[in-house]
Amino acid sequence: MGKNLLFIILLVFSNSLKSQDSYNTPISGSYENVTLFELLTTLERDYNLTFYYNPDRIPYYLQSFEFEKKSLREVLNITLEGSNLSHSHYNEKVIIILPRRELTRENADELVRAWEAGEIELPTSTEPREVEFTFGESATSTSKNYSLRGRVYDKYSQQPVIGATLINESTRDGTATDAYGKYELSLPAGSHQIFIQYIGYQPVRATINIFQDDQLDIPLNVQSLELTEVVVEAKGAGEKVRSTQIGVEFLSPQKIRELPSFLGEPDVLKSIERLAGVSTTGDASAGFNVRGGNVDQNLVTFDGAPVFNASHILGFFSVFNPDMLSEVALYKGNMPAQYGGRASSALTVSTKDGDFQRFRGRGGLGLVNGKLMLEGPIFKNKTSFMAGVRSAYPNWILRQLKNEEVRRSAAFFVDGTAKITHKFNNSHQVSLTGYSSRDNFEFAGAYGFAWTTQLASLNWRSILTEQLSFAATAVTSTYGSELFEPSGFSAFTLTSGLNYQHFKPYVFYNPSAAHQITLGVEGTRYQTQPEILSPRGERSTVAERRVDKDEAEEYALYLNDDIKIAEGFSIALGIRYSGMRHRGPKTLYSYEEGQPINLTTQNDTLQITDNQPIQSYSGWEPRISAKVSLGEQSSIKMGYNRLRQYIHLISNTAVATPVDIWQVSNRYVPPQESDNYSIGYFQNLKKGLWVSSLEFFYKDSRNLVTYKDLAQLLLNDHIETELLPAIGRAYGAEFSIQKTEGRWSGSLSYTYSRSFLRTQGEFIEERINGNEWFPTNFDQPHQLDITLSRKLNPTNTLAVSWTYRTGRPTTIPVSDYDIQNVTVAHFSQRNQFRIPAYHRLDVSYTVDNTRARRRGFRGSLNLSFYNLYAQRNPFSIYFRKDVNNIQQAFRLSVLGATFPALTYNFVF
Amino acid sequence: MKLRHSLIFGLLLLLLGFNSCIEPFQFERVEPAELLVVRGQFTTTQSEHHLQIGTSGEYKRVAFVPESGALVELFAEDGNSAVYEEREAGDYYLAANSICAVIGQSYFIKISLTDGRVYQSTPATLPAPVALDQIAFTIEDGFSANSLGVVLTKQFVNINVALTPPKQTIGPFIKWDTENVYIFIDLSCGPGEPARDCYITDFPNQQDIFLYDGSDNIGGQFFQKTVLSKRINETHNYRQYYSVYQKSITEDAHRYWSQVDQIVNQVGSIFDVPPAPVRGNIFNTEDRDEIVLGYFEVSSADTLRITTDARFIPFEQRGRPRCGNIFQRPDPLPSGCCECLVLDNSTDIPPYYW
Repeated sequence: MGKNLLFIILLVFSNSLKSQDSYNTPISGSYENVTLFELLTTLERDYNLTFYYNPDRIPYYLQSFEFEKKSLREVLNITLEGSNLSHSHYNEKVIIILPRRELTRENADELVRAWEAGEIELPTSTEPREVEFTFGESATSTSKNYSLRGRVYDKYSQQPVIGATLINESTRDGTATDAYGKYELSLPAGSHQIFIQYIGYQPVRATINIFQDDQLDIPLNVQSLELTEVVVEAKGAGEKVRSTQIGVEFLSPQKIRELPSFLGEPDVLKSIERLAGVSTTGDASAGFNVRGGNVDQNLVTFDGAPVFNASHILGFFSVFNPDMLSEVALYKGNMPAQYGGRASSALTVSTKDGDFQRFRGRGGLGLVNGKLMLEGPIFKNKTSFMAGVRSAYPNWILRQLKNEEVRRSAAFFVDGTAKITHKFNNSHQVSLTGYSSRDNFEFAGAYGFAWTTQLASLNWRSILTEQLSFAATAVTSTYGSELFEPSGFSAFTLTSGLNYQHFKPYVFYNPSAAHQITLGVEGTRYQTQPEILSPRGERSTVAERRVDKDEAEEYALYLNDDIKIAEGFSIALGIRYSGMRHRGPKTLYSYEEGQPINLTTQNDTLQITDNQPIQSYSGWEPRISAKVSLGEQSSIKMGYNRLRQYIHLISNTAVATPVDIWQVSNRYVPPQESDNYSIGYFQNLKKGLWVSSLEFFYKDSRNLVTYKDLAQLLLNDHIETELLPAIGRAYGAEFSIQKTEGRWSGSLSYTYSRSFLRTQGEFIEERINGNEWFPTNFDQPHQLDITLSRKLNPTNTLAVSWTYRTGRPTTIPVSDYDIQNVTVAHFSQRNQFRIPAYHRLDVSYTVDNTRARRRGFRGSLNLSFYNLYAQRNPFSIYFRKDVNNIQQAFRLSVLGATFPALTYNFVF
Repeated sequence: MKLRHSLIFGLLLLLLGFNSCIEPFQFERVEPAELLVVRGQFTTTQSEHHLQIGTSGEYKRVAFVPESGALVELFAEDGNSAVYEEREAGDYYLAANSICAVIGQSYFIKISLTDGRVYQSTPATLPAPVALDQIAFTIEDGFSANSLGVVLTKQFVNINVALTPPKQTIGPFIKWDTENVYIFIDLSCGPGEPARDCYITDFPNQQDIFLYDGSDNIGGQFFQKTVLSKRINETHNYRQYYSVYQKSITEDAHRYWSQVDQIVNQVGSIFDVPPAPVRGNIFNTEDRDEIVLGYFEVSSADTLRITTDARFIPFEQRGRPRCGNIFQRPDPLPSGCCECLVLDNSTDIPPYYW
């Protein structure tokens, strides 16, 4: 210690004597949105200075400075303020920057030695790479526009960079690369500065001298991972204003990892729920609601494969391993024509390809969950793999709790994802993604349920010509669920499920800069598995029972064109023709005309043989979005979409459960149809540092599925007698503002959203609330989400988030009576009251060394507190007699406590 | 470092330990629904048929304002009819022999209130009885909540019945009602005052509804079901009778009781069906939309009984008798120890089967 103190004194002394001039170097200049690394590099260049520092230990957030004849000492004091770094002279030439506590002689010597030995690897500059190209000769040119086509790709992996933006710096007009990394620009003859960027890559400023149609492929260099993080929201920032599509949100895996999470496990769906326009009905809710839509109205795809249950353990985790993802996109109510089959939204989740160059891994270990992911080349630069496994094992904690019921409960899940990608060449690529999972939940030995998913998705991508690309996805999947009572005379197992095969080929045609055309077809074959009840255990007297389900095919043909009409004005036009055919085998029941559909009005039974068509539906789905740019940083957009849905989640519980039944449309369940209207204003401030949007939406729906009072759905071979068609309407407004960069980053989103249903039945049993409009189970008018993240230093981050939602509607007793010694509550009309509001504060603190540039094993530690102030948010209110035999209302809080979690994550 | 890990781990368990998931909740007061309630049965048992008419009140009060002066008539499919007699306000009786309960014949009631409103039940056909084959008891572990709501593992006497339901396309529809009667012998607290035997009727599973609908297609096969579960307590120091009334009910009555079962056994879980009004089989002849609470049940019944005494029950589970023993009496004595007739549902007249 004494030695170090002496060193510091000597440094200070030597500074004052020898290096006064260097430290007093007057610095002047304006430095906007620069990292410390960039600032130091610039100062070295402009003032002939030398800084030695550990690039892994300095912050990489963007800052802006204005210096007017400040001494270097003052400049360094200002720029390092708030960090844990300090600066000092090492010798006449060198200024060292080290964490304050590490400013020792040994560390300084070691730092200087490493620099001078060339062992320090500097990050790639965030300064754009300057390049220049000339196409044709000016003498031959005319005043017409020329087309420049090409692709943007990763120089390292040769993979296309999807969504990279190319902006003409003089006109601020631009485009983005498509799913194959392709772009097309229309440029007048002459010289243009095109700025090309994508998150995680060093930007390119290309001077294009164009005098003829031509092509240009642009490689991008990967930036250091720290820099990737800095600009992680850049795509969202730019896209929100620039893209023609309204109501689309992007989430990066890094962003998902930064948010405080339940038990320290970052989660896609929990992150989605923080977006404006997205809500959930409680802590134990599988699925999410978008713009007043039911959970089954969201198309969720995983590498192109539809996923029918995206949740683990009652919705606390999603099925997506965040370590394996490349991008998550949510289309809220408005989606391009290539997406369909659901009446509210599309959530597309894509995995990244395994590393083609070297073996890497990533994993984590928490108190109740763990995960491991490996990736690497099978044949270098040709074939790569990626495989990950996750599991949760909370049983050892459950066994510590006092509550006997909880102690005898069990929960468990395990899932595995694997992907193999093979590149035939730069134009043709195929990948195979496999996913398998099993969930098990048992409550107090009284009942339990389990569900499994197996999925395989084969994706082919080909670039046929500069204008034409082809892609196809083939999927096969099985989803099975099981409800059981483990012991006793009535012990049983009830299984059901869904098998499907899905095929979706499409072409992407880019004839000119003004058009981006997608044309494709898709088909899905559904086989719902029968519900089978079987006895469980030797004592069970339950008899076997089987209720057969339905088979159907769904198909669609679609065409989408992103059209640039004029500068700043573009539209996306889409049309989709979709249909389905319900077919045998099936036992089909008929009911008396003009009578309610119930067991007493059944008048006939028909046995439909294999493949015999029973019912067909089809219809057009027009899609249109338009964008008008109001300058460089703002735009107005509007959209209209018609969406049709041919498969429905049959679930008469307050929230969806894993054992709910998927029902294809049939004679009694017509397709759901919704008309979605939206308009929005998008504004970026301070060059994208702040991103804001205000959107309004209205949705008109038909043939929604609702239920008769106290409908019994399980093992019901007359399930149509319990269902009611309804019309629906939803409307609302969404406001969102994000700060995307800097030490402080975060977002605020507020949603006002209403969602109503109305039956139109003729008979008493078919009229809910007298055929008046009533709120849906997920009608939550006000929702506010605030997320803040503070980078304390390059490795330490504090993140805080707060969520508020209006309590969801419920039905409460308005009277009661006794009958045959049973006290029965008499309930109000449906959903006329609300449970108390939901709010929760989550906090996480992360010490992250995984992003250091050095190779080898690196770790991060995350301490999180979910529901920090232990709010007992009601999941449900229910009414029954208490232990003293008195009628009582009870509040069930699924997470009525603070849930701390300590998670160690690692990469290698 | 080890200490730090222990602290973190301890903190985790401490916080998890605070997790109290279920608690009573006070809802905003709502305007009570004052609706007509009709409850009654017409059965094959050789006893009077009883029917009550009243109006419901505020929730949690189980209010029942009797409806007096109504004309209540029972109509049979064969054209016979009989009029109920009102003995107390809202209590109407029909002698057992007024109308014969004939299997396969349909019956309905008509209620004419003093204000002119007329109500009627949907006609219900009296189903054939299903015989009970066996009754037995077992002693098994189960869950029980104490007064603080803490759930503990305790032992229970389970009453199991066995039957062979007939094989038929639909049904049979069965509802089991149960009743427990135990003897309680009070103390001779005053000079010359004899100890008294009281017979106390208990409904241990008052809110549990046991139903069968034949949908499992086990007609013609032997079938067992637990229909009563009573936690072992100090009453098991004495003799007990468990009666099981196996009632064959109509399909609509089964629908009604299934819905009541969904309502009364809500646990707030994700599997709970959203609650809703339960409609019975009584309707206003002028306004079908009016909700009438209750049910007029037409059923045929079979009864079996089983008895237990202290010999069959594990001693350590029974606990100390309510009034102690001759060596040690609680001070003060609990109510009923000196006069057992003050206890709820108590009588000193033994049931006919005792």
